[in-house]
Amino acid sequence: MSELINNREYLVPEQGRRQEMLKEIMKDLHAGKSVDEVKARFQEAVGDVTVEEISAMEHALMEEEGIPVSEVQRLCSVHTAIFKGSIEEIHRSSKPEDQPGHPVHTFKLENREIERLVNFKLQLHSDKFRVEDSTEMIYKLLDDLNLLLDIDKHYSRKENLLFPYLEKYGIYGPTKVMWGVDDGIRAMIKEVKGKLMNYDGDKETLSIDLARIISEVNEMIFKEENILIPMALGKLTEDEWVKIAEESELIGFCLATPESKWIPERVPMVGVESGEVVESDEQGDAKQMRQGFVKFDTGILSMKQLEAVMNHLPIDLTFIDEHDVVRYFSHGKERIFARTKAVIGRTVQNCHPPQSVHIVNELLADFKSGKKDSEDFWIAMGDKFIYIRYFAIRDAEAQYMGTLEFTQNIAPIRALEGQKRIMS
Amino acid sequence: MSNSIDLRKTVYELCSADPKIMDMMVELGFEQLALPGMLQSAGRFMTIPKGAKLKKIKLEHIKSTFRANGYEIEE
Repeated sequence: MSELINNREYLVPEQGRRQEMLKEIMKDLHAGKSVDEVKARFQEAVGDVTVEEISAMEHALMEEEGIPVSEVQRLCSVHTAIFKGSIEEIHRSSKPEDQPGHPVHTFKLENREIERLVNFKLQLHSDKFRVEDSTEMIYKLLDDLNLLLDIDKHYSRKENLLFPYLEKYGIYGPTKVMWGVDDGIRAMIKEVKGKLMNYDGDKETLSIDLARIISEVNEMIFKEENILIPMALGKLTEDEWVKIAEESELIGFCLATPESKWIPERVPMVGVESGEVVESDEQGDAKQMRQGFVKFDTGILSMKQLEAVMNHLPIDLTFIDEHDVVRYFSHGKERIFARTKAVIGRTVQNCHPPQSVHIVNELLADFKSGKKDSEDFWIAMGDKFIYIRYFAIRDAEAQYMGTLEFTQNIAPIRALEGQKRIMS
Repeated sequence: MSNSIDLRKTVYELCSADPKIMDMMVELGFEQLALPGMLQSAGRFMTIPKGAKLKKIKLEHIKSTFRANGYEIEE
């Protein structure tokens, strides 16, 4: 996993070169060349560009080239006109985390807005404030800080929705440290706001405070996108991202809202009898099937009876088909490992934490190749003793049809002693 | 033993191959690296140049410290 992510490292020189080219183009614009002229050259020179690159470049323009913030901001609308098409291109990605509505996509979207707010507006206003601490400037700064306080929602979602999952996977250190820094930033914004409201003429201290806010917020974005997010993507299952996305609205968003709800791609359900594809949202069909009967070699059960029987077995069952797609799980009163309906129609690989997927795959490969027909595991969990069995399900011609997971708490069985012959 | 540090490698890779690197990095100002779980999680995504940028420690200073301790730097 980490090897994959490290590939990004090798892209850095390429990015540096690209940024040089972008900077040249920006300077041409600054010197008075027309947008159309530059646009053509831009497309020729750089196929696509990420939003990160633009903000890095804009930052470099201010820092290294000495172009005043106000100039860069004036150019900002021109950048947007030029880059718009290509930014949208890059967003058309097949990776789930790049799709609108995925929590990672939303976090990054917000980060771009936060960057714009602190690196342009707040930076510009604090530069002006340093020159002239007029009431007007103070109001503008207060405005910016009020907007920036919205960052609380971004941080809260990270802390309350994302961190618990990371902690579930044993990641404590980074989350604790980050939470502390988040708190520091929130406190700092509030403190500076208070100072501005009761401005005592100490321009110097306030300027330093504002600069600190800007740099801390930027650093947090860097940490989120370079450490936290890659780390989370390496651990969390798709199911967990779905849950985070669902709960995100309760906390709210910061400066940007996701354009759409993220719906991960699911494998459509295949009709039992006809073999034809039934979309899961076609509730009518599902209902009809529910009212029907299932004919077995050894009897007939109504759907209702079958369902009740399955759920009264003192075991948990989960079935995945020959394409590794989760098709069914029983939902008895005391399910040992929680399953949510969200897993149905998704591959089993998507329902396991990435670091244990290879074990699942290995087992499935042995089942499919016929090397194994079953595999058992047993673990002690509190007062339960859990016996987990996997069976390769094969048809009469020994063709692999799927895998059945069979989980049972056998502690009460193991505790049996002697014998019981009559009802007591 | 070849004492070299590949700056493209993650801090996790470097420190697990040679624990002395960890001590030096903590001394250089990467104290958080010593926190439990940090190396195994964040460390897998962190490289020395990234960390230097974040902690605002001059990369040159890090490199020269390692060199002074007998390491070669690979970039």
